[in-house]
Amino acid sequence: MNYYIEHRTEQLLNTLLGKNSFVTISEIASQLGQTKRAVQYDLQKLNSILENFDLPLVISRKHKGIYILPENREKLKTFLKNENKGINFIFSPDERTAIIICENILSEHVKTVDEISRKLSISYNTCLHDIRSIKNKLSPYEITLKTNSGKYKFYGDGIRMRSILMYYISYLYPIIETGKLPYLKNRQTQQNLKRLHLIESEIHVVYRLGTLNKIAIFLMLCKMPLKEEVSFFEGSRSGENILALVSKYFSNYSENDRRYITVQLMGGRIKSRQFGDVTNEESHYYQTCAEHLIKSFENMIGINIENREMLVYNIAKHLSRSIYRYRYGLVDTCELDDKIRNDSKYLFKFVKAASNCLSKELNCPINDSEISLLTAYFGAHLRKNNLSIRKVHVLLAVDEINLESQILEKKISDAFPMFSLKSITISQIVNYSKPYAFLISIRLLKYEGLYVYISRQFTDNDHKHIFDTYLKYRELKSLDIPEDLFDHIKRYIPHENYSAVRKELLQYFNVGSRSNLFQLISKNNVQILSQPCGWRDALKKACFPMVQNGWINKEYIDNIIMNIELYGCYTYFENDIYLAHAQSRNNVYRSGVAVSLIPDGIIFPGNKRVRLLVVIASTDQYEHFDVLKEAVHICNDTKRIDQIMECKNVNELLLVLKKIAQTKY
Amino acid sequence: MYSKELKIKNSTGLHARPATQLVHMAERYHSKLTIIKEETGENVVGDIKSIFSILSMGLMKGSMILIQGEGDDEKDAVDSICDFINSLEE
Repeated sequence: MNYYIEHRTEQLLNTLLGKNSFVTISEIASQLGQTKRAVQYDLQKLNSILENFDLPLVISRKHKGIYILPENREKLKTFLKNENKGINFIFSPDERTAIIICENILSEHVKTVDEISRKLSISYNTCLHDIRSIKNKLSPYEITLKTNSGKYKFYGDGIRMRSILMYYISYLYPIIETGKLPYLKNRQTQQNLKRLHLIESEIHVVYRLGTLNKIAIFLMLCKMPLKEEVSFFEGSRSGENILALVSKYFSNYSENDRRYITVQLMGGRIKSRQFGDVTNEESHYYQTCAEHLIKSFENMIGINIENREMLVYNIAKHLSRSIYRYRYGLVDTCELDDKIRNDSKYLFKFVKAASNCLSKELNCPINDSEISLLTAYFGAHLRKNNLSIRKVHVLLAVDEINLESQILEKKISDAFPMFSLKSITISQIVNYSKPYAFLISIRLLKYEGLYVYISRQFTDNDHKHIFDTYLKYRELKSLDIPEDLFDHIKRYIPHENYSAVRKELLQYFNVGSRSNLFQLISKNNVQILSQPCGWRDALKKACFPMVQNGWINKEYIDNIIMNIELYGCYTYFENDIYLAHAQSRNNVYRSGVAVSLIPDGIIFPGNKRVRLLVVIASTDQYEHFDVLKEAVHICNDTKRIDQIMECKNVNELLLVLKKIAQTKY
Repeated sequence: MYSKELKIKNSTGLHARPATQLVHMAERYHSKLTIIKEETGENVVGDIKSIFSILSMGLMKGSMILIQGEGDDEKDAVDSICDFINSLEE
């Protein structure tokens, strides 16, 4: 009998074999860059495979994590080595379509459905399904897939087809590295690689790890001569130099192809004209592209970006240096790729979805490495502009403003990014007139109001503890009062002034800065949808309580639906949650969250099953961003989500949600 | 504490690509590394190990900056960071 093990499952086994003690699911998840839910799922699968082979299982202990006993390791290692004896590796649908594209897009021997399905050990129907999804994936780039007497062939612009091939090689590269796709072992790849390394040493450059491997694989897979002209490095001496070397080592390739390889090898050294030097028309073009990207991002997140022109300028400048990279599918990665992707997961996700729209406009794919760079611009800008508005203004009283006090200031703001700190000397406190939320002092003060006393001897952790306690105290004092008050007085206020009055109240009670919408959840906003329906209807039902309470109007629902239709389910989480929201265009009157549990699940666009639908609405766009971040945190928390999914009635659901609301993120 | 002052000379400044290389380089050192830029009388301080922090400083051609290191390998770190910024061409 044959058993199939997926790449991810095998990766988990391999990781566990490398651990000498118990590890928690979350540690494994962060190491592998996956969600906890995915790891749990893989663990289950792994254990069932091991059971079938009569092998020792991975053991799990409450509060400790999972572990493979040392005495069992050898057995499991041999099991992994014998991958061909009754165990095969299978690929996920996305990986499969990527493999089909890579092996066929520029190949001269096009394959029939039969040949493809045999090669990938999938059924004829699955293969047809994959081909359909390939057609959809490539249509924005004007690449078509047509059959000719049973054989499939790709048609389209040669350079674009190359950039797509490069894109998918990068996509598959982690799997290629493990050897499960034999591209690197291929004799032709090896020969190409040898030649590329010769060029590398002749031009005295060291390429980043993987760059030449990807180009060598590209050359192995690319069999069709390039018809379109490549004229990117006219007049560049290093370009001419590399071209001469490429012509020497790759003499069997056409002139255009050699130029294409040269562009790849030049990578970042192609001197594009500086942003300041480009023609008006060009700079206008880059600005339009940047505008589009930012607009999609704003629509998706539901905020307006502050100081927008600055971001447009920076991104336009970046695009002027980068669009040729997208066009030619350059594969040299940026050094912080993984770091940006992991540290700012939610931001990366949104920028990726926004870049998708840009990529369709530009007619070429944008790979994840390039998206991390765009993410860096968005992250830097939001950090400097939008988020500072939401910051708590804090005064730091010191003896004297000097280098030492600056270091202390830096330390505190590193540990507490939501503080906007200003240092003043102790004698200045009395005369300080600008508003601030609270005062920190390194000395005991003769001061009327409340202040937080810290000492230089304290560690960063001590500070953290002190501020946490203080902030909690502040919050307890003011929690819910303005909201309750608002509920009482709202009947005396004209409808159109709702949000202004509420904002005023929040400001008065000083809670606006740390609002937690999940705290406002009430029984009315929680429901269980057991009737089967389409995704649009499900959304309308989920929003219904908010419409009924007069918090939003129906237009807001239409905006949510439109967002999904335009950008897809970009706030979908692997654990069957969809976070529905849109930018408020005067159609949200009061901020709130509505939660609907759908026990049987509903299929959303892109074949995504949703069992928990969370609708977010907020009147204030800064708050919106905070709530969105908070919601993303909660959605990623497997343990809590599992609790939610198990709820049987509205009361249980409300109880669990209230518990979540009390937890600090 | 060890610090060095320098001027950004390359025409495109410290944009995303060189900045990611810089952060990557800084991560190899234990020392706390900061860039300080004077802007209309006020000091803007950035953490060299954080890409968002560096990029948000908007370091353009002609900016005078102070690279500061604090830790056991501060001299090595500050020197190699200055060399890197000086070697930027584009």
